[in-house]
Amino acid sequence: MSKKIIGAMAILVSVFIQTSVLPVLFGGHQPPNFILMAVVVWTVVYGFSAAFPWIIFCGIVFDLFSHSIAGSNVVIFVLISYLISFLSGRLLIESKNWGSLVMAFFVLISTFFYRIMIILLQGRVQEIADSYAKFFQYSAKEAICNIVLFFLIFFAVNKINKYFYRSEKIIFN
Amino acid sequence: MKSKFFSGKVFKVFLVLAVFGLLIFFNPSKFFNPVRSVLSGIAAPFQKLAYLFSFKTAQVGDFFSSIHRFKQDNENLIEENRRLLAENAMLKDEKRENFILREQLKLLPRDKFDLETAHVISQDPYGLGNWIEINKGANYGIRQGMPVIISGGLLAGKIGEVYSTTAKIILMTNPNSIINGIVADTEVKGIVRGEYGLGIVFDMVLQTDVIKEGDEIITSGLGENMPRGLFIGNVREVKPSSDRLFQQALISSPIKFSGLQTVSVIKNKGNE
Repeated sequence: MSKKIIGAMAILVSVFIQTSVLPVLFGGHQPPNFILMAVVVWTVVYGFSAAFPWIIFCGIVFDLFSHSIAGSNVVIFVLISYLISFLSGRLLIESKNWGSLVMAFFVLISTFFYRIMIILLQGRVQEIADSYAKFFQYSAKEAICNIVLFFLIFFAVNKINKYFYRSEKIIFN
Repeated sequence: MKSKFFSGKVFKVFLVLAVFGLLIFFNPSKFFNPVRSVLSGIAAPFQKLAYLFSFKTAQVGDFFSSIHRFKQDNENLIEENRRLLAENAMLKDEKRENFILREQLKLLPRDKFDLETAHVISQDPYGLGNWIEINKGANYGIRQGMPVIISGGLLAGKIGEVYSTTAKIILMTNPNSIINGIVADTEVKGIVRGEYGLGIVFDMVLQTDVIKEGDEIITSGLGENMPRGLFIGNVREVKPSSDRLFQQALISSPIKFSGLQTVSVIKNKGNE
């Protein structure tokens, strides 16, 4: 039961960071997507099946706090998680040399996919149509920040697994 | 074979897409708003702490890039400038009103506003500058559509959704924000709308009307809750609209929407 509580608290903290911390720290510029990177890390570290219920819960909570259409983030997170799970099973993610590049690639495609899906679900297609250059510029900036955030969260999650739970994947299993 | 299919990844993804896809399609906001209300009420104190903490952290970053004494003077000057911009716009409007003997009810003095001050606790997480959330809601008499100001008379937006202990403010940069505006000096009418969370446009201005850079745009007072004379911004650039039927002006607002900490909600226009 305590593992579930820790998991739920981690998701709530992630949502607070995304809504009340990052937009302020980045002062109106495109903030990185902490929630999305958390979802990607959970999928990479724990696998799709183990992370699946938590991704749904994360999406619902984020939809409620971000005043988005209920279910929109759930759909996007599940699709991204499945896509990463599908690709990671086929790419050399364990390789020391190529693993980091592959994960950076995952971050890149998940960032662009997320932005496109959110724009479509919020009916803001005109935003892309008016300026493709601006869309790619903002997406690229966000992707770079997301890559940094991904590795920070990835190492943090691995450290937690290693030192506090002694290599057991307790939180999500 | 069957149980293997139902426990497979593809089936899980398909199930989620079906269930939540229907949820997105029907969008039962009336069902989720009470849930949002309860969660917002519980989370608001923690969000406020997180918001204040990150605000202070952002200020620390500014501190190292500037001399503290000059930074404080600069902040004071910016605040005073905002106040003077709002006051100047109101005075120009009042001067015009007196000159053409306009009806008193169309002029609403700021000191008669019934204001409710609130702290900002969260922002649009997508970085679009579309909305902010405050830690006061229906329990404090706040209702949908009420205008939101800062520094006494600068319009920031209006109340979008209201919950029992929190409320969502639709900022002027939100594309769904539409406010009736006029040029303070010449009474040229137009519609002030947001542009993808990044800027504000003064649109639907007649081709025959004269509008130039530097003109001050204020609220016209048309509409149920919006008082007249609230400062919106200065004209930065004038250009024809995409259909060439009207003129458009890009507006520069003195408000840094991402840096708002406290705002005031106008609960009563004060003329009743």
